[in-house]
Amino acid sequence: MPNTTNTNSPRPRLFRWEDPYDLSGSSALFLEAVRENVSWHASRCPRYARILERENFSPRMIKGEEDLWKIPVIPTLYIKRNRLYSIPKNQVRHTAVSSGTGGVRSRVIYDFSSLACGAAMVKTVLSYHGIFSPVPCRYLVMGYEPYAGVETGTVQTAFGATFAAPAASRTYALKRDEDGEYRLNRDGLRRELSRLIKEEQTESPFRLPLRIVGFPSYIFFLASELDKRGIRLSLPPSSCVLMSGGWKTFWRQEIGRDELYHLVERVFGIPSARVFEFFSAVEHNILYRCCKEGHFHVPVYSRVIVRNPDTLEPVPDGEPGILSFVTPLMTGMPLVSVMTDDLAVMGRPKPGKTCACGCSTPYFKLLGRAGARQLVTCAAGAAEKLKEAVNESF
Amino acid sequence: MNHSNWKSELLNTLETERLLPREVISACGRVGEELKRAEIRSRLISLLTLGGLSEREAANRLEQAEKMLRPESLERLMALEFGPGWESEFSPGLAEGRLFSESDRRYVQKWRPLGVIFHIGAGNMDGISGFSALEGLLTGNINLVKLPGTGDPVSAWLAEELIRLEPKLSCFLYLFPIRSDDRKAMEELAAAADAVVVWGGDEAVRAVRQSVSPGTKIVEWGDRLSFAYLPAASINGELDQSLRLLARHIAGTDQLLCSSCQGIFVDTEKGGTLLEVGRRFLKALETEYAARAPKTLEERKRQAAIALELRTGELESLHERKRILRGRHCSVTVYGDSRLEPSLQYGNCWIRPLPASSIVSGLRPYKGKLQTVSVLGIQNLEESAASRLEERLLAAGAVRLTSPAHLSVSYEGEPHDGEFSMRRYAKRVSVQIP
Repeated sequence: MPNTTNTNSPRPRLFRWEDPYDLSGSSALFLEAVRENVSWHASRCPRYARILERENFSPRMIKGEEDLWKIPVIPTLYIKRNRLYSIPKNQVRHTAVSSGTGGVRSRVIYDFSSLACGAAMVKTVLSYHGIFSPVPCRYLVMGYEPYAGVETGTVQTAFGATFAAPAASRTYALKRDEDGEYRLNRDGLRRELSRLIKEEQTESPFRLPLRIVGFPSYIFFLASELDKRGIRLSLPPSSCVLMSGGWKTFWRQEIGRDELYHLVERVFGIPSARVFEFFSAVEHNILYRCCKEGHFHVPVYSRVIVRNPDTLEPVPDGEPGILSFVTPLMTGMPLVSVMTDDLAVMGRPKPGKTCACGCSTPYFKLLGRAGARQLVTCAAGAAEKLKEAVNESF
Repeated sequence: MNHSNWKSELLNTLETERLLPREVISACGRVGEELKRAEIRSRLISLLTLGGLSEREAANRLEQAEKMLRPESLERLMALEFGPGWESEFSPGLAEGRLFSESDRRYVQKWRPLGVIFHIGAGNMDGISGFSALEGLLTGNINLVKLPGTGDPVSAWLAEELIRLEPKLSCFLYLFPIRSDDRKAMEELAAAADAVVVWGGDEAVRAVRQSVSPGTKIVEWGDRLSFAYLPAASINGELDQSLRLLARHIAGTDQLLCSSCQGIFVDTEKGGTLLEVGRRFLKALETEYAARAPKTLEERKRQAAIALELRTGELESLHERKRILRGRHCSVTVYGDSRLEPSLQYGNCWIRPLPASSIVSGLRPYKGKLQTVSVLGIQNLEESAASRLEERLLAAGAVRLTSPAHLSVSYEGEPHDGEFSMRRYAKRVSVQIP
């Protein structure tokens, strides 16, 4: 058995770290885990070994965090177009597929050890933010209903989120019909919404908390439709909103974060402290929570580097560049240093200070997707469908 | 614009009205006068630059438009497409026209408008829909114009001015700002038309081909690709001068037009020669692009997308036959294959081998896609060799051959993608006369 499944090696220890934002305490362990992860892939994935060789890179060159950007960076575009695997097929335990931009998708494979590390991270981060709860709740998933063998990352994530508290029910906005096509679950949505309104009017003592899960744009659309109809709910206190993914609305503009938070509070009675937005990518499945300042704070599991497009070197804080990440999470594929197609800026609280949210780690802010044209992603494609259908449904 | 009853208006116009080329020409002349006004010019230039063109190219385009709208240019254009008797060719009445007789039968042939033309403009270029409609007007047609969902302010301006200055045109020109995926509206418009004119990429053309019923003519102005060709004899000659001119053309259009050079095919099979040409080409590109650091967020997004492609290409070059040469804000990718494909644009070109003997076989797969070829250093070739090379390129599918500085420069009376476009908007009618 490979030694990284040893639960005492640096990688599993990092992913079991108690405080998910204790960067200084875990730094040495992080570096050790990254070095080990680079070596692991170099010895198992010949194509990756050639990439390291091309840049004369060896894991020994990682002496401190300031050296992390030098690990040859692989664009997600490369992962979409090329195969880059470090484990044999029979060790694959899970597959996640990105939402395709331009029809090309990346297929990311997990072995048992990466799944276990990922699960430990999810548990730590969600507990830290008070998202795990023993109180049963109803889920309203503003996204796709999963099915056996679903590989689309966004669907898996939304489904996964419905386990953070015991589910009394799950209502999906988009359900598959007999032909496997996703259609708006008109009846289900209407039933769930009228139940919520009725419970509100009768002040039912048996109300369960509601958790709304999905893309920000869907949640925005739902909330603004209810808002237009003058609907005001005050859901039980442990209700919350869990969202991740695209911010593009049906009109292809970005909605303001503040605007959405206010709307959610007005319509559902869910305060902004109970609205949780996460960033993660299929090629980099680390959870970044967005605080109320719009900052995605860096957790112990990864480091974030914003790169100059021309030189690929890190840019100073505050300067826009290409968002890229370093994490030792994956053993199935060499995704230790990847570059996304997002533009972002880095920032960090002043020495000795914390962010207004209380977190002291560096953070990134998203500026939009790279590209000359508007890329149609999973969220945007489905949003069109949702808009049409919701308009008919009400 | 509100055209709630366009369908009945249309039938009425077909029955009762005739639009003559002369009337359109004089309206264009008046629009041309408007175009000379400074405030109109600066408004249109800012609209075009918002659409993605460089300021130089926008001004260039406007100048071409202004020239094209001059009555004398349009008259020459009509003469070129329909002969010196173009006015009587389109004039009402069937008495005069070109006569044909066979035994005791006599016939007259004349040009007539097709009737109704539905124009579908390309999303990538402002003004296309307007000029497409103008050609439809000159041939006397009723024009239904789909503006891109994102709008096309330049076309809208042209149409509004034409109607303002010649009110008669209002029943020959209808603008519909609808989305391409509004299938119902698109099919309704296509069903009313004698011909559908479609500008744009393969997908747009394919969609039209599938939805237009048989019997309705389809005029495709699809996306085309242009490139430079470097013959073996020019490799060691005054190449740098040609490359400089080519680079200047590339920077002028940012490789966005069908006539923009996407890369260079080199008459060689040697990787070393390709790399050498690539390095010299990169130097010429850098002269144009080095100072073009991105400023706006849009430009940064574009730069980032190109950077991701280049980095991916670099990693792929470890297992594929390609090599990336990076310059400041530009690049050259040297490939081992002879595929014809769009470049990454904005000064990111390709170089590929294509021995002269393989021109026809190598380019045939792209036959409907080729547009302009610029042969570099053609003056270094003997006359017979030059003409043989040019004929070969035309046989392979090219429709325009120009010098490197003039790939995207047109002239009055130039055929469009190998055709006289207005003839496609008219029909040749034959009438037996007593």
